[in-house]
Amino acid sequence: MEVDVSPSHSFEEHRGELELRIDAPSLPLLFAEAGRALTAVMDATPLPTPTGWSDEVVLHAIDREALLVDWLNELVFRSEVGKVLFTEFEFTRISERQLVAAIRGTRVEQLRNPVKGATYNELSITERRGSFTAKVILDV
Amino acid sequence: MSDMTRESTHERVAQSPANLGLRAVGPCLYEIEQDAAAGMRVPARIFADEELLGEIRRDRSISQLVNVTTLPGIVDAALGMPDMHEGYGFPVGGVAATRLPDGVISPGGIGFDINCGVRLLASDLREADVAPTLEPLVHELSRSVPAGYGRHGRLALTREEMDRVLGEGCPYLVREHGIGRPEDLAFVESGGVIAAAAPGEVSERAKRRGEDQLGTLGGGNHFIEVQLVDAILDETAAQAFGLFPGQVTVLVHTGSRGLGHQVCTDYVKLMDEAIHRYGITVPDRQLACVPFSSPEGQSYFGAMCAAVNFAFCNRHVIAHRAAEVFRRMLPGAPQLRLVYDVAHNTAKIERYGARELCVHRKGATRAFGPSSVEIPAAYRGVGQPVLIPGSMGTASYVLVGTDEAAALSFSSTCHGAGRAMSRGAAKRRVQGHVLRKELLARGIIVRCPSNQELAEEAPLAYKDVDRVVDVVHRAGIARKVARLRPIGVVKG
Repeated sequence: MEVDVSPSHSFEEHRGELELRIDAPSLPLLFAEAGRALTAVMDATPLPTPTGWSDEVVLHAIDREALLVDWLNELVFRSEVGKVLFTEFEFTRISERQLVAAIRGTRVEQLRNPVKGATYNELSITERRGSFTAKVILDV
Repeated sequence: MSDMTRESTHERVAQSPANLGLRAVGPCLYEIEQDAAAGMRVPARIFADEELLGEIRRDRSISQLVNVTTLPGIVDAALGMPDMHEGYGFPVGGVAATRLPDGVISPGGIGFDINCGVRLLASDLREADVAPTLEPLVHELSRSVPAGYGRHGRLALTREEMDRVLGEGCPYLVREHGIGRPEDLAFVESGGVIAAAAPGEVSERAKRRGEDQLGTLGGGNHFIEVQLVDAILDETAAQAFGLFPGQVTVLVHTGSRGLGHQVCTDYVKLMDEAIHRYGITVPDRQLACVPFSSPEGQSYFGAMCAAVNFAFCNRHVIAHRAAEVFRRMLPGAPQLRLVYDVAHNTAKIERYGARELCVHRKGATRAFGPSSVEIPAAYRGVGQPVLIPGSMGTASYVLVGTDEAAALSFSSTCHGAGRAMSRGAAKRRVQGHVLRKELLARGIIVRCPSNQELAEEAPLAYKDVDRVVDVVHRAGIARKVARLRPIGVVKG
């Protein structure tokens, strides 16, 4: 039986880091929610709907867990150097080992709480009854 | 925003290190035997007293240290310092030496902030000399050195300049840009340049993150402090280091910024993909590693050494700015003199007897003794200065390396107080504006962009640095020389 759940995320705080847990009914929704969670860490204030432009992201990894870390680190890098908070993610292709996405966001003067990176530490993605749960630790 | 955003704050439950048979084996030294868990190649040893061991047991750092004992090529023991706490894969405050050429190198054993470290500058001034101008002095320091994550500095490097910083380190800045003095270079670990650096192995992405970050503090526990020598604990060593009671000093604590972080990110990914080709398995993906002599190992070592050079240069530029501020605010005062600059997060090739080893130090300080030829000539016969930054508002220490540490800890010792609680927990227990007033009441002027960030680094969020330093002194892996107390803090 498949469980219908809306994508969601939560944080658990540790000594020098932040554990991010994401629940979603599909891999694309899981990755999109991970992107939104990252932005929520960087700036919790509501952002306007992005307009006018988008960036393309193409990633390859050895498994879906590594793909999730790559995805978050890609967003970290683009946020830091471009001063952009990404909020919209459209996947034209996503599998266990690669993704192609269009991402859109809002330019800001400065990131309030930049994330330094996503880690492989205790990284996991589990799939149960059609629902995905990921745990990834962010260096903040 | 998501439908559900909740935050919880409990400490993670440690994986029963007591069940691993931790037993006392020497002064302030505990050991988990090699057969305590599957896959261990060597024992795990921790320098601590009972109280600090209690702190260490609160997180999973002991289990992480046991994981480190499984790395191929590791020799003698995986070592935990008294300020050890949970890190990514490898605990912060951990040391692991692997035999060359085929023992592994692991980016997780160095950490994200490659060559996070400390530089100590000494003046000939006393408190009374700076007291009338202390507040503007601290303010000017905060204006001269950008602080905070992602903040950029006054030096924007061209790609050619970046490659020369990465490849040639501090001597390049002195020679080509007139930043710092030639006589200071001998007082930077390795002369401020690791010759094995390979700028071509550093990704464009890492260079881009670092291109405007030279001369910036960054965030978190990074800082510049104006301090006073509060107590001399070893007259001979203090004299050799040019330290005297009541002296004004400046301590700079920062690292390789976004550049180093990206180097670590790039190579953990590379090694995570390559590890299986070498038949290596690790209990935590963040411990991804390859043989040192492999193409991937050599590539990482070259990139990591380049990031080490970048961090040396970062502290070098900041120290230069601090000296400019002192000259401007205290006309006629002698130039600030570099006592030493030492790294906390590196892997270095070192010889111990007949063995050539790759010594990973993550949140640990190299601490060569008086007989080492790799320390400044002025300090031979005394030992290498070891600089231990306290948490904001608490004491910092100058220690000196011992010859005994070569056998006990691969010439390594602690690196600081070590975090004891999360940033969020600190914020819930401390109000930034109250802390600011408390520090001011104790004669400490603070410059920090926000009260929230100030609260994150409150002293209660860290272990007791006095106790940490006592342990390494009693264990014989460094000796106490001087205690420094802050009178001005620029927080990163």
